Amino acid sequence: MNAHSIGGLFALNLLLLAVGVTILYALRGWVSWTELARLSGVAYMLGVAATSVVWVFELIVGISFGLVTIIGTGAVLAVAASFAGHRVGHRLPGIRVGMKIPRLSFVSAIFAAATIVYLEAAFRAARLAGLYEFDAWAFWVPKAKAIYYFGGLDEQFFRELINQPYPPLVPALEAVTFHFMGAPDVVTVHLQFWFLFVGFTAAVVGLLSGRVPPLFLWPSLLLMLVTPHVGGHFYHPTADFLIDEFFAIAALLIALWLIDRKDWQLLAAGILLAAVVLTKREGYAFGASVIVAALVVTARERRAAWPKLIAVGIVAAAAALPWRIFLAVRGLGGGGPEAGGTGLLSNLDRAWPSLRLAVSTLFDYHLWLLVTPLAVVAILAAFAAGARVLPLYTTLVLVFAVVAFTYSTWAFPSLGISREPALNPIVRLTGEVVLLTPALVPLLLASAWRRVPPVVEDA
Amino acid sequence: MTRRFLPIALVFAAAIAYPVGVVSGGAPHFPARSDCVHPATKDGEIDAVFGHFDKRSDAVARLRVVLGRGFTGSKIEGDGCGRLKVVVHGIPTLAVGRELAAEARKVGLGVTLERAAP
Repeated sequence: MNAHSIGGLFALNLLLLAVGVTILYALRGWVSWTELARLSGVAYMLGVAATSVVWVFELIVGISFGLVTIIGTGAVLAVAASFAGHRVGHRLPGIRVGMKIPRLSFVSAIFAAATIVYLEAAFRAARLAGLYEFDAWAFWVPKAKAIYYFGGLDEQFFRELINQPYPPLVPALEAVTFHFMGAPDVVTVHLQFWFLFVGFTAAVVGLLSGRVPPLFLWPSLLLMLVTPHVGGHFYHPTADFLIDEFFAIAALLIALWLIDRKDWQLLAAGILLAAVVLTKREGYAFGASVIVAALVVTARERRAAWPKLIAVGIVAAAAALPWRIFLAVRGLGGGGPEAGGTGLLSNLDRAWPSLRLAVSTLFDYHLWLLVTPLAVVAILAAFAAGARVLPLYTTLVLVFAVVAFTYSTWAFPSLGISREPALNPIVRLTGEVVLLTPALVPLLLASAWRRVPPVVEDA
Repeated sequence: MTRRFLPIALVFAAAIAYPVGVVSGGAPHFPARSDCVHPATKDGEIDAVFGHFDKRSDAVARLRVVLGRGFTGSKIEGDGCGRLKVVVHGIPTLAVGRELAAEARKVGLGVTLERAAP
């Protein structure tokens, strides 16, 4: 609970940003330093995703998880990515190239200022937040403490905790923050989730600024930020918001690939989706939803598009394999639904209430304000203007999300038909759509405005 | 030129104004372990605390001494800030607490009267 812990977190996040910058260099490079600055949020999220996935693999194979491993992993990734970037012909621009200050409209400035002040205020809230969220103190943080103290996935401890099959990306990341803070500081650890949220926000802005009008980008972003549930929960040390952040950026990158067909966008999405499936169990459904949606909208060009999309899906799914094998070897069970498969039929009476709960939660003004209606309006506007690919892609992702939310209640008869967090995780689940909205709505509105959003300067 | 820099200046001004406004009210407070010690200032649920300890062995040693000198009902508890305290609960008033503290001093024990945790 001190400045030393906060300093440690800054150091950790600089490390993650540095790794991410090298990954961005390997994937696409940059033509100017201004462009790198614009994409620094994407770089940071890529750094978090790639490094965390490798940390999880190291834990699974039993490598002692201390500071040497943690920093060494980042260093190896950075060197390998730099080497790969150089091999594929990417070069750093000269120091003077692109150092000029970017043009900023007054609209962008006003909303950017509001966003920055919001995040600064959230920093204060996160800095002294207590460990009160049930899932956080019941198993996410205890798992992280066990990794911190024992240097790995202690067999007995992980067997006795609840939710053993949950993937360990978040506990690994929290254990890393404990190492950088110098102690398992369960208060300051909230700040790490603030950093992640800032990275997510910066990634959305970086990928869309210059491509969509500021009036489409900033208000939808600010609307998401000020929703009651986001404001009060994004810094809790659980996996709920992190999976949504990874997923939203991955879904945005795939949407951009549908427009631009730049391979780096798919590769980056693949890295983020690998992190998605290792963050929470619903990551499998989330990942599948964007890949299937993209497959459907590219059906006419399936020869060119499908192999790439399927490859991304396979890579992301493969990232979960070591963890599934680990669970099987330790006999921890896969954590499947209570009433999956034919069990759904014997619980048919739960189908309609589950669907109604999912939809009504998405549209609950007191949780998410008007975020979901905004997404629906943007889709309809894009369709009305004659656009097809983006609105269909977004529609499919949203429909698949509702199906997944419905299934999550229907297939678990022990869950109440309720938004009460102690009875049903539906509110946390629906965050997926809410964080996706500021990523996709600006693109949809731009496509409604002038059909095809322009490509911005690109490597 | 002004149109180019004015929006950027606006963003920087907002970004700096908020933290400056916050810090102008005093430097940021970093909670310390002493924040888990709340001296009793009025009658009510009061604890007599015979010390806070980082190590369990130190707390156990102090408990033995305290019990040996007649303060039965003493026990070891966490203080909420990662330390252990040797404590007697249930002191109803400051006057009773001061009497207990005086008796403790006579047998060489230091006591603080603290507000009981809710």
